[in-house]
Amino acid sequence: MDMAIETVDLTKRYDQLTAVDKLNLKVSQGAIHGFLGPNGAGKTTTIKILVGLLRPDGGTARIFGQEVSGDKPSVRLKFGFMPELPKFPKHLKARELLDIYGRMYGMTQQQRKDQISKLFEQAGLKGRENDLIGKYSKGMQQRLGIAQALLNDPELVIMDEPSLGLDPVGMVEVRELIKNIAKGGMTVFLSSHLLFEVEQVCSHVTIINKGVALVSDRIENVSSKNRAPSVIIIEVSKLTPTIIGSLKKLPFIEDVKAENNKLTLVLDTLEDVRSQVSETITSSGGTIVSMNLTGHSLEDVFVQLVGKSGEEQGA
Amino acid sequence: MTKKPAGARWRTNFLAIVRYELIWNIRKKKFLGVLILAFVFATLVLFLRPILNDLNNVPTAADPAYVVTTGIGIGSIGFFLFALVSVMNSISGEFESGSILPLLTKPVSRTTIYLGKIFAAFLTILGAFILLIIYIAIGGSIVYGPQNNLYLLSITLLGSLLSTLVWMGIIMAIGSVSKNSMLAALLGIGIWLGINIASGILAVFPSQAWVLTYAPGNGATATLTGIVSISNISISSVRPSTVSVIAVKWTDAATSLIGAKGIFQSNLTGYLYSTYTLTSSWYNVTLSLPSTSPSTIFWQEQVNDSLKNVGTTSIESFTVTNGPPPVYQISLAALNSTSTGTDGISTNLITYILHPNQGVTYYKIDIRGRGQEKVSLLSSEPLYTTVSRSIVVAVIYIFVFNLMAWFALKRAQVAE
Repeated sequence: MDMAIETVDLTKRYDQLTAVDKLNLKVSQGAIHGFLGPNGAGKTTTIKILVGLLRPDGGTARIFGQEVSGDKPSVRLKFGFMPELPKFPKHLKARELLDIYGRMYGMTQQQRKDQISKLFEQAGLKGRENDLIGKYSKGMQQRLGIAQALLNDPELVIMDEPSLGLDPVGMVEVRELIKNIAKGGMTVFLSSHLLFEVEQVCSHVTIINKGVALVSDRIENVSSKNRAPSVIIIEVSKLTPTIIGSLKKLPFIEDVKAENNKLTLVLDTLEDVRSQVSETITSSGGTIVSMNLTGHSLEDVFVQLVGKSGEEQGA
Repeated sequence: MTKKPAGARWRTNFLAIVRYELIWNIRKKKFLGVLILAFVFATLVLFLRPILNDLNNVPTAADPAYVVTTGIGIGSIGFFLFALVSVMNSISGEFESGSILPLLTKPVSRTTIYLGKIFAAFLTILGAFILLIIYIAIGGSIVYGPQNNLYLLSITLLGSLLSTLVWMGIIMAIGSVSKNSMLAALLGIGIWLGINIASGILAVFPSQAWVLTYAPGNGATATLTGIVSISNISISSVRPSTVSVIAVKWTDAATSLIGAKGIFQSNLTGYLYSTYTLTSSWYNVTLSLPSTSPSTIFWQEQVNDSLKNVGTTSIESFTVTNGPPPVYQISLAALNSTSTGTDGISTNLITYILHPNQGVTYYKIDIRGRGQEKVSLLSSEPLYTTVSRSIVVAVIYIFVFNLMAWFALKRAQVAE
C-alpha cells in the first residue's frame, strides 16, 4: 500500500534560509498524523510543497505514490487542503463558493447540495450559508476552510493549523470533527504548534524544527520517550511541612522542592492539575499567593528535544 | 468523487472558474462605479449639445450618422478604465488576500484558471459595452432622429472590445507578474498617461511619430482625409434648372481650420450664388450652375481645386442624381484627426467601411506663435493600412501580454 504522503530528502530554500532540509516524511493511510513544530519550523513550507503551491529545490514528494511537483490537477483530486488562516473571495456567499469548488471536483448538483448542507452542519456554520464571506469572522472563515477541505470526501485531508484563530469552544469542536472524519478511514495530516492538540487528536506525530524532522513516531512512543516534565511554581503565604507532605501524596507529583515560601512541583502528567493542587494546599491550611504552570508548552518539550538531537549528532 | 473523462472535466472546470469570477466581477463596487461613470459620460455626450442648443434657441439638426460615429461614447480613457477595474486584481488580488491558496489547490489546472478568469473579465466588459451601445443608440435616435447604418454598431462593439482587451492584457500581465494590484493599477495608469503624453511630444518630432502607431492606446494622431460626415445635401431650384443649393456639413474642427465660406467665395466666384451659415458647423452653399453644364468631373475638379490650398480636404463622391435639371451631389471631406493606435480601431474601422477610399495623413505642425502654425505634409497612407495595422498590433499585444500573465501564474509559487 502506498503511503498517503511520502517525502524523500525534500528541500526548500529561500535565499540563505533553508526552510525545509532533506525532510523524510511518511504518513501512512488512515492515520491522523500531526506535524508539530514551533513557528518558522518549516511546517507550512512542507505543506505548501505537498499541495503544489511551492516547488521544492531538492528531493521528491509523493501523495498516494504520485509525484506532486508541477501543475497536477489529478493529484489534487485526491486530497482536501485547508490553508493556515484560510481566506476566501469576500464577494461570494459561502454556499456559492462551496458550490463552485464542488463543480471543480466534478460533483453533480445533487452531490453538491447534499454534501454542502452536511458540511455546513458539521463545521457549525448552519444558518450562515447565504452570508457573504466578507461578513464572516476569522473563526467562521476557519470553519469554512475545514468544510471546503472535506468537500469531495477526499482520501487525505491536509490541514495547516486547523484550530488557529478559533475560540476555545471552537478548538474543541474542531478537534472532535477531525477525530470523527478520521473514523471514516480518511487520512488526516495536520500541522500544529500546540503539543496538547497533537496529543489529543493524533495517532502519529512528526516533530520538526528548522526544517529538520527530529522525531517521527506513534504518539505514545514520542510522548513517553520525549516528555518534558511540567512544573508548577507556587508561592504560599506560609509554608508548612503539612503542605509539602500532602502534596507529595498526590499521584501525579514526581518531586516537590521547597525554598522559603516558594514551592516547585515537578509533574508526571500533561493534564492541567492546578485545581487539584490548589485544593490540596488549601485543605492543608495554606494560602496560595500565586501559581504558575510551566513546562507544559511545546517550547519546553522542544528545547529538550532539540538539545537531545544536538547531543546525539555531536556524539 | 465523480470520475469524468478529461474533456468533460475541462469544460466543467472552466465554467466553474468563469462562474467564480463573474459573480466577483459583477459584485465589485469599483466596476459598478466605472459603469455608472461611463453612463454619465455617454449621457453628457448625447444630451449636452441639444440642451445647450435649446437654451440658445438653435435647432438641433437631425444627424442620421450620429450613433455610428459617436460609437460607445467613452473613448480611450473609457477602454482603459474598464480594463483596469475588470482585471487589476483578478489574479494579484487573490494572491494579496490569500484566496489563491484554496483556489490553486483545487483539481483545476492553472491554465484553466487563467483562461476562465480572462474569459469572465471579457464577458463582463462585453455586457457593459452592449448596455452602453444600446443606450447610445436609443438616446441618439431620440436626439438626432432616425439613424442610418445601425448594423455598424457590431463593429463598434468588436473594435471597442479589441481596444479594451489590449489594456486588459497589459494590466493582467503586470498584476500576474508582480502579484500586486496597486502596482498593476499605478503602472497601468502610468503607461496609459505616458503614451498619451508621448504622443503629444512626438507630434513635434514627427519623423519619430511612427513609433506610436505600434503603441497600445491612442497612438499617433493623424488626420483623416476624406469624408467624416456626409452632408445632408438638399437641393432646391431657386432659379429653375440653374441653381442648386448644397448644404454642407463640416465638423467643428474643419470649420475652424478651413473656413468653408471663404473658400467657396474665393474659388467658385463665377458660380457662387450665396452662402450662409446655418449653425457653427453647417453651411449652405448655393451655386449657380449653368443648365448646360460640363461633365460631373469638371465640377468635381472645380470644388476640389477650391479646397486644395487647404491641403486637407478632398471630395469623396460627386454624383449626379435626379436629372433633369442636372443636380450635383457633392460630398465634402473635412479635417478630422484620428488616433492610429489600438484605441482607434472601432472608429477607424467604421470610417473605413463607410468610406473605403480614405487616407490617413500625418502632418508636421510647426508652432511659431499664435496664428503662425505652419502645417506641412509628412506622410500619407490608405486608411485600410492604418486599420489593419492597428488590428494586428492589438492582436499581438493581447496575445503577448496574456501569454506573460499566464506564464507568471503557471510558475507562481505561493510563499506568503
